[in-house]
Amino acid sequence: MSYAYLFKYIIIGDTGVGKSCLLLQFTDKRFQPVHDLTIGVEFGARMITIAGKQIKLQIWDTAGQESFRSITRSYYRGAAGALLVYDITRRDTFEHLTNWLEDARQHSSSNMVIMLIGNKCDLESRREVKKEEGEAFAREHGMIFMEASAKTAQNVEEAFINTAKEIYDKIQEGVFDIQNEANGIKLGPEHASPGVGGGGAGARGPGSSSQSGGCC
Amino acid sequence: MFNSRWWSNSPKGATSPASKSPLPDSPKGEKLSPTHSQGGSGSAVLKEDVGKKDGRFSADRLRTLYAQLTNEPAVGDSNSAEIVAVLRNMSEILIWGDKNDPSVFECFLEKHMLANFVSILQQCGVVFTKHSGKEEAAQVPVKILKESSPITERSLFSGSSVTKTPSKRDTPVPEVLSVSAAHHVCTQVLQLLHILFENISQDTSLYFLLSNNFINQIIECSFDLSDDEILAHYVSLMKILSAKLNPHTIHFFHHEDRSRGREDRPDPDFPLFVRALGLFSFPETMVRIAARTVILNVFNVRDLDSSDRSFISSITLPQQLMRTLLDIMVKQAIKIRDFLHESGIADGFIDAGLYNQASLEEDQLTVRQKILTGWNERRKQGSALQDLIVEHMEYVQYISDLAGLRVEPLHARVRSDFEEHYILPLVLFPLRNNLDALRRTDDVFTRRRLVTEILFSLLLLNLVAINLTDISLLVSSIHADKIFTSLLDYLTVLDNREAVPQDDRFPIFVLMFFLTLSERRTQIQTDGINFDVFIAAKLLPAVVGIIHQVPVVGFTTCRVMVLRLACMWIESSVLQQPALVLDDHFLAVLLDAREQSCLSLRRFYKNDDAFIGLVELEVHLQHQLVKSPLKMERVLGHDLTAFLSLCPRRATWANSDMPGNSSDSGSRPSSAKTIAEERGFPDLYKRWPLTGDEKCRYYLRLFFLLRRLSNKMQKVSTPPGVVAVATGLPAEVVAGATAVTTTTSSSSSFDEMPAPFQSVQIGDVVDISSCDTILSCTVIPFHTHLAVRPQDKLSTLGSNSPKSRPLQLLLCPSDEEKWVKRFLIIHQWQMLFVEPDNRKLGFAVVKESFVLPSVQLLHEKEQRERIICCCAVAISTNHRTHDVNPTVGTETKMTLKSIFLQIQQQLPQQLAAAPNDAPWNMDPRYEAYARVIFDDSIRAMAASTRIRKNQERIRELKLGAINTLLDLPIGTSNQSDATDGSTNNENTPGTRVLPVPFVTSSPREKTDRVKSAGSRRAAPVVILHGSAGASSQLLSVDPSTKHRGKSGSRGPSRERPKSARSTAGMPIPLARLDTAARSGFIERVEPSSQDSHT
Repeated sequence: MSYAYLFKYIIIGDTGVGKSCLLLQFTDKRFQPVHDLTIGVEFGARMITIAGKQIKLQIWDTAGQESFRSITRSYYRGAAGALLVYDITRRDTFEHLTNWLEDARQHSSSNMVIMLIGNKCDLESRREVKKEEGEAFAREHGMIFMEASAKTAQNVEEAFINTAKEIYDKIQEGVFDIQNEANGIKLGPEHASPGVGGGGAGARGPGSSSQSGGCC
Repeated sequence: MFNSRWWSNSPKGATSPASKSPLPDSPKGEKLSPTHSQGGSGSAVLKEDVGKKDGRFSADRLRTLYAQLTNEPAVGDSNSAEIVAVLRNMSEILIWGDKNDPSVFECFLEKHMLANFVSILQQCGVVFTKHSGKEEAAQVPVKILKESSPITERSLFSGSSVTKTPSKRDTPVPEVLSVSAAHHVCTQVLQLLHILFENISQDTSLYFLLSNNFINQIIECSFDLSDDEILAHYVSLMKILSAKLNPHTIHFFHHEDRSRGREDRPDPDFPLFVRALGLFSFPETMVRIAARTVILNVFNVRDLDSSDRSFISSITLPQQLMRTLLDIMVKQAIKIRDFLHESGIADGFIDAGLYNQASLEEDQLTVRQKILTGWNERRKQGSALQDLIVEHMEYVQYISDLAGLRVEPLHARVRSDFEEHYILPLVLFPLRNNLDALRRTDDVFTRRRLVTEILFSLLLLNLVAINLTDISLLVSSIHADKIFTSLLDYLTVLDNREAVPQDDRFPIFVLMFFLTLSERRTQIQTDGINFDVFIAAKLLPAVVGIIHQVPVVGFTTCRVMVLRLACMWIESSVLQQPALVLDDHFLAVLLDAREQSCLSLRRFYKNDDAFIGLVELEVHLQHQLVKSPLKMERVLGHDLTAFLSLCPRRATWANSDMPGNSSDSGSRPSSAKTIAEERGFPDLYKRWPLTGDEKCRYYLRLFFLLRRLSNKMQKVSTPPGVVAVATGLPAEVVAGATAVTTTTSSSSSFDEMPAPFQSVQIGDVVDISSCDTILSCTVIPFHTHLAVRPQDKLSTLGSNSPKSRPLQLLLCPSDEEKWVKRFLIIHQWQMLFVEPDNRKLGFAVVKESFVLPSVQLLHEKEQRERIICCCAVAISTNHRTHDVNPTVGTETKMTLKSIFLQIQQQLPQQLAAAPNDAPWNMDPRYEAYARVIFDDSIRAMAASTRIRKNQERIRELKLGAINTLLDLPIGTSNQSDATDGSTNNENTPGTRVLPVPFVTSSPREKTDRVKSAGSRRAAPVVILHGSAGASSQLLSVDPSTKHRGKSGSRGPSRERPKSARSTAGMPIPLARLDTAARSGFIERVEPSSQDSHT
């Protein structure tokens, strides 16, 4: 269960674009996509490996809290990555992307990695948003883009892992201040400073130290 | 039973948007045998089951699975994997059943499966409790565990008494259940519950799930919250539960038996609320956020009868909430205050001291290093502070959200508590008391402490005001008038020279606060005080007083920001309240202030181009600022350190406050970041003017601000300043069209200055017949090199070794294929390079156009100094060898019949390109260099004379305008009127300058002109090969330039030094330095000032 880093993600987009299904699909492979069973969750976590390092991804769905300004803002701020999801079979969800992105950029730290995902790409026959449009939008706003399907699990893995890679690269470049828990990145127990605590409590180490830190 | 196919084909999107088209079924695999499902292999087994939908999803299957679950005597290490697999399967069946088969859920209820889940959770809980009791490792979870452990024990028994659990459950856990296995199982149960509650779509099912108090047992189970996974699943379960709250379900969350029966136990009756509140100060951000969401959702359940009452009618819950919340907030605020004290941000970073230390012998690099380190340090501290504040503001916004629910009794509680425990002790009392204390004390340290505390309170006040949606939370109380009156005192600190160290930070914050208030005036209904009356009677005089003071105290004390905010406030209040009219007295004060600033400004008046440039720059900046007014959120969010740091003391720069001292401006290093920062908020960062130029700009700003305000207030109908942007210009001849419209600038209202607009743009077609001088020429673009002058290297005789000589910005001609043949026209404000239009005789296409004031001619001497022999360049920088002028002799000849142009960046681009790394950028002021070679030296002379003459005239115009602006007597600036025959401007100073179209003659006439022009030339053959067929010939030379419009595709931008307009917004990178040269401090080569020419 030990990990080198923990990345916190949020997943945003209009309701009904399949955010929670994407989430379950990625975090729990044991729930196989079945044709007449759609299960979604608001939270999931999973371990992945990047460059030989164990990295834990925690993904939080922010659905249903849009009316509370303070809550959404806090979510954005506490995340290292965001998956911005739209539904390729619903044009309006694509058109709302600008609003989502604006919000995300305004409230998040500038380092947050945002990935654009066109979900339900298995429903080719009902497609309303062309792949090229998604690509263009992503290029224009400096995001990674991918079409995925929570149903067939196509590209789901890649979507999350590519985002994590980008975050990892940024850490390597020193862009993220990993000591600051507010960035949505947490050092794993093995990285935690020895003074703060070991074993089970170690995971909390960086977090609690950042509470009192900052004034150095 | 529903037909699953029918369901999957039902319309999608509307009811169940997440649903997808059916997968192709591929029947395979066998029934699940749970004995095989060990850990990771479980997934493989499940996979095989996918296709068997009938077998897999049914009540029977659920029953079988449940039997497996109950057959296990207790949760232990040996069977934990199995249990996990079973639980997973069950959740899938349940969700499927919810949508497809009611019997599944009936089975679930009938068997009391939920009770079983609870019991599993509790077994895990016991393990965690024991474990944590043994180790005493965790700190935060321990608190929660301790609180809840008695409950857990009790509920364990009560749970088993309710359920029909087999008797073996009552026996103490026989099997060894390790912590890790318990984690595993616990997570799985939580996920199952999470999935159940999130995906259940039918209300009745939800009610069943919530009933029997199971839900509270689940919430109150003891969990090992030190485990990321369990914690996260637990809080998201709480979040989902809170999202399911409504007037019908909220009953289930009350702990019925406990709240009724046990009087002796002070247990609160709402476990969800209690647990969420307990997580409020948890170290993990996401957990805290989830906990806050839960509480919001809880209070958001409204009473069925009246929607402005919360279903939570108890007054203790809001009380508890506010106590916890304010406790956290006050702690945070005090942390911010301590940070301010410790970091010394409020003292400011005085690099002035460093400058003074920098004696002549001290290496400037060292000084620069010191300054940069200081700045970086300050930035780091600034971002730490920003982090603290952002986090704190999340809570302020949370308060705002709570109040925004508008439910009683919570709302009243939030109001009163927030004021009593937050606003009063942190903002009002310090503000009221500290200023007096500050005035009384002489002790430096006490003063420093008091100033920091005042700043902290003012900062907090502003931040809270901005972040509250409903600002009446802050000011609608009985204390509002106290806040206002104590703030008024801070506006007078500039007057009071003796008592308080004059500090412009106080008025800045206070003015910002009142600006925020006036932005949201509608929200303020104060009981004790009539806000309008207060404004008219007290605030307005105070603000006018500030405006009067700023020009008097000057830059040693006061930033321009103060004045700008004051002007903004007066403008907005007068606009908002028609009743509030500035009476004559105030108007007189304003005019007086304006006069004062004008007087200060006159000291800097100089009859030179540098001064004109400054005025132009400031005019431009003012227009920019008028176009995009300041927003308080942005200002505060930008960089707090800028607000908080101290303004310089007057002693440091007072002596150099004379206009003559600007000569040292070049040698004094400026902080690297200031230029970039100044672009955002110029008034904020110009904290103390260092050079004469900057001082001049300071007074220019004051003057323009006051001028604008007083004009507005006088209701003088001066049109708002419009930058003279040439609009509607292009006069392109559409192929075949006969009429040639020439370009006229339509912008007629110059507010302050005649701006160097471009009436003719690249790509325009102009009538050249009316021009009296058209000179054929060859344009050779140059690029820059930073190097030691190679010729010197050759000629040195050991005395001065190359390394002792500084690097110099040298110029190097481009490859021969970049050379272009053009005709040069000097027209009014512009220098145009044209090419005859092949479609119409006597017309020409403009290929390049530069505004004359931005053009500089390089002296012969300078040319000798700066233009490098290409062979030498080839040696030093590995550049391609050119065969242009290998010897000095040809160079001289060339010089005689050519002019050398330096094209300066024009104003908007100059600002846009203000480089972040200004000290290292070689010479940001120039964007293009070119040599223009004419046929003979006479033509070269004619061209340069003409350029200078027109430049001189433009200068006179501008000076005239400035004179008028500053009310200076009209000087002798008007002699060179009517030197240019092709234009007929009225050059009286101050009058508006309108460009006159210069191409209006008939086509016939112009053909003649071209002919005659051609015949007049001595040797036009190079390009024209005779006169009549000039256009066609030229076209055959370079057909590709036809119709190329603005961005001629002449190679990569690096090699395109001459295109002012074509790269608007994207400055052409000058030739880059190599990295070695970059790293050190490079003496900037100061281009010769224009004075020498004029």
